[in-house]
Amino acid sequence: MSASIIEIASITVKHALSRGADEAEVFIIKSKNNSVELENNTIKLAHTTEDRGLGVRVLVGKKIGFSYTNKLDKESIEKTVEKALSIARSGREDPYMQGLPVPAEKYPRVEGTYSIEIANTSLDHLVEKASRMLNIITHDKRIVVVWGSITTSSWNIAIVNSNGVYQQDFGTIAFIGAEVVARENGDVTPGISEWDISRTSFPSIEKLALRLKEKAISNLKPVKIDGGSLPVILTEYAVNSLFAYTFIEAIKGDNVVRGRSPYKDKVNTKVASERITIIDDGLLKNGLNTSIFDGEGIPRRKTVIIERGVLKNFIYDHYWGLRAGKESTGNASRSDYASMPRVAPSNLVIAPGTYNKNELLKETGKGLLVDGFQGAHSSNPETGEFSVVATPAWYIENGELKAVRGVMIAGNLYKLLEKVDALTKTSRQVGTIKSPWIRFPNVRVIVKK
Amino acid sequence: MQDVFNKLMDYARSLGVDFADARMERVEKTLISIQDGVLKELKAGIEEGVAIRVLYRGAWGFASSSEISFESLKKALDTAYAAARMLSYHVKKPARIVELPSKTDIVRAVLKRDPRDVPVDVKIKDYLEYEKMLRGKEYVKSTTVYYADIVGITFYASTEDRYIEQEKIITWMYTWLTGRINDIVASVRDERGAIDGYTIWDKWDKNEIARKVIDRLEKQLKAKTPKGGVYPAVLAPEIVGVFVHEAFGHLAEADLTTSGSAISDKLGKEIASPLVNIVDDPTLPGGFGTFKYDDEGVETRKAVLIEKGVVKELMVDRQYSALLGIKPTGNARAESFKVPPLIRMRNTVMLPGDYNKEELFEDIDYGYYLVSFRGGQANLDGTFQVGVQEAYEIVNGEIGEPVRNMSISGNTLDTLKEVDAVAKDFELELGRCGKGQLAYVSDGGPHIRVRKIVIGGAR
Repeated sequence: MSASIIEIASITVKHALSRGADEAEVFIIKSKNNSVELENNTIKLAHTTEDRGLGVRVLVGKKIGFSYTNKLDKESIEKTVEKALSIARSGREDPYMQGLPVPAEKYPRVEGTYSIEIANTSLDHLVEKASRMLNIITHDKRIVVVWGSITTSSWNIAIVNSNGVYQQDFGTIAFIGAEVVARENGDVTPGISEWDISRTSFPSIEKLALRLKEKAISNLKPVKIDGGSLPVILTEYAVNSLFAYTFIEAIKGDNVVRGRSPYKDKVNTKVASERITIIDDGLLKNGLNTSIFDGEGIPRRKTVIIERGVLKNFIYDHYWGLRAGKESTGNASRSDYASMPRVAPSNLVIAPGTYNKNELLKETGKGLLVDGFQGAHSSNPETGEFSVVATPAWYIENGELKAVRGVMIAGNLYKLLEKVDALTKTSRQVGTIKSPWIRFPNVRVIVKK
Repeated sequence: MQDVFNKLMDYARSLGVDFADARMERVEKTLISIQDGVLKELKAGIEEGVAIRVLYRGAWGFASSSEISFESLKKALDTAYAAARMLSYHVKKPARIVELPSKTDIVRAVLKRDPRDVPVDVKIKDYLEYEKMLRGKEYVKSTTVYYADIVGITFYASTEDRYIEQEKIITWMYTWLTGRINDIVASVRDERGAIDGYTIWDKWDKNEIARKVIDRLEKQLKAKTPKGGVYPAVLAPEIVGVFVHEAFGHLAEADLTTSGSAISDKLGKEIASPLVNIVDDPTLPGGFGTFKYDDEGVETRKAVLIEKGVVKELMVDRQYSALLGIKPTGNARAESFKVPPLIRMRNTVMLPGDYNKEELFEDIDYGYYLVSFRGGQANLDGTFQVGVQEAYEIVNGEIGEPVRNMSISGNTLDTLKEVDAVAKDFELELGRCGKGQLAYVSDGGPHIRVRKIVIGGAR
């Protein structure tokens, strides 16, 4: 295989047209991962994997077909094209289908998406880092590392379609993280996690290890609290967990068009506290999902979702943008070569507030600090209703934190967003969302007696 | 494949490894997705590749390759070997594994109707017809239906001279329905599947499933919300299944148990009511977790997790089998050739008891009957949460009004102690589980009664 992936993509598009496709799109990704995994206080495994594959989307009239392969030789690719065509022909017309995207006039420059340091980190180096991380964390004998990982990935993506889209991009990412439990005098914490992700430099092992230790130890010695209505502060981890199954679903253009979003008729109306501004920023410097173009080759961009509490826009891919009578916001996402593009946020940035964390805890009086949820995926995206276990969690009393266990919180995220009364000035990206800590007043807290 | 693998394993032995294995997979998938009457996605493809593991001086190295020539495999093995060697200098507790005798076996899927023989056009017609049935009522606002078939064959070889070929074929369908009446919006899901081919519509009637899902949606739209608090409850098989899997099963995966899960010091001890028997059984007919060999080439067997309330054994892979002295159970599963196997569940079920289902309701003055779930999750410390999408009040021993938007939670061990009646019936549910990697699993059980469970609901 001497041709570059963008050349292979281009040849494959032409081949698909010659075989009878009206339009065709080829997506190729080549990636390399190095990873060291921790389990049960030991370094369990070191691995290197290389992966590559091709996904081809064809249109025959208004019928669509998709096929994929992880073999990039001529014969396998041609078979894959035939498969895509043959299933497209046995399909049904999609009356809303208006074809594949056309290229943009200009593509953005992005910063902080590739690092030679990350791309060249040897497995040897990762093993050494993993060993150091394990030593620091388990120096405290109360802590057991359940799971941990130090991973680097680098990739090359190309996308070409028959309307002239012809793009490629390179990226890197480094991940370090672990889940631990702490135990003391018969008391065991729930799983406590911390992770750091960066596109441009290797995150500090020491900082992560110390944060994790502190969090785990502070979750020992739980106290009993009364249920009722309390202010609740969500950390960036908790925000990512809860929003993933509620808010994110509500801003996806496909859900809006299909009538499944509570926000569908609410553009330019107030849907959140004026402290809330949320932007989908596909160009965010060092953002986890920052790239030149999205999964269909459309330029990434900034889209304001909520500005000072007022709903402004939704996110779309090409198909759903057209169905909504708008255009794509560059939000087609592909998890790998074997998946078709779907609408998803890039980097969802929640604007920070004015508080520092200690100030916020002090000012809260009595409340709950929540760092994660169990059961967030059972939330109802259409209504925003959730009823989840807050874990790990701490009771806040005059700025002091005391561990609590088995506490449930319930409510409606969309209604709670209207009442946000404080955000911290620091924020961090630990998933799709870059978020500060967010405080909601009066959340229903349920405690088993 | 056997010849290439023999040569590869000879090469591995020549390097002086403790152990090495290779797992080649060829997986063919077809996916259909229908949204609101529109055939939205139609996908078919093949992936093929090899996973190679090397254990050297107690350290594991892993590599994968999408080329399957001897040269590519040798290169992947060299990579895994280099990784293991590198790691071996840092490993304080060398890993040991259970070694198995030499063996050759070929296992073919037993199919009533091979999904590869069913034209995609027929599949599309079937699922469009079903999806249309879901849209009959005015309050149904949106539908999503997925169908997938996954045809896989695995070739396994190890330095123990084991060579195993195994076919696994599953078909799977998923329904998601959203409705609205005035200000009330609700969604419900349904998931089912088969391991004997394109047989979902032989096992269930399209109209019947559609009616059931619509009925569930209507109740979620019209019902009242539950009272929050602690109540007695009767759990139907689907809820028992998700509870047994999420709340208890993960705690008994040996990697998680050893890391300090809530049952880490409970082996041999009574943690549940004596009525409770829980097994992870890879031999149950028709389960997604029914297979003869796991992804480490180990013969699968039933793992008895709880017998009469006492924790009996854990689910192990080769390494935890050696570490804990538990006879191999065959619980190692990998999502694909791109990743190493992990300890995963197969068919995790509570065994039936002596009660008639009806008897479970009799002594409850006020409580809840929980029928179907929409997601569940648990933590290592034994707290769990299950979202419920179909539930009813129980009033004076009778099933009463439906309730909506309910969830249950609690501590697994406390809840297992509160089980005071187990019925004779039994149902197996087919679904999926995520533990970093996706696995197709089954779970289930009979109806059971729990004296106390925390009921949460958004009011």
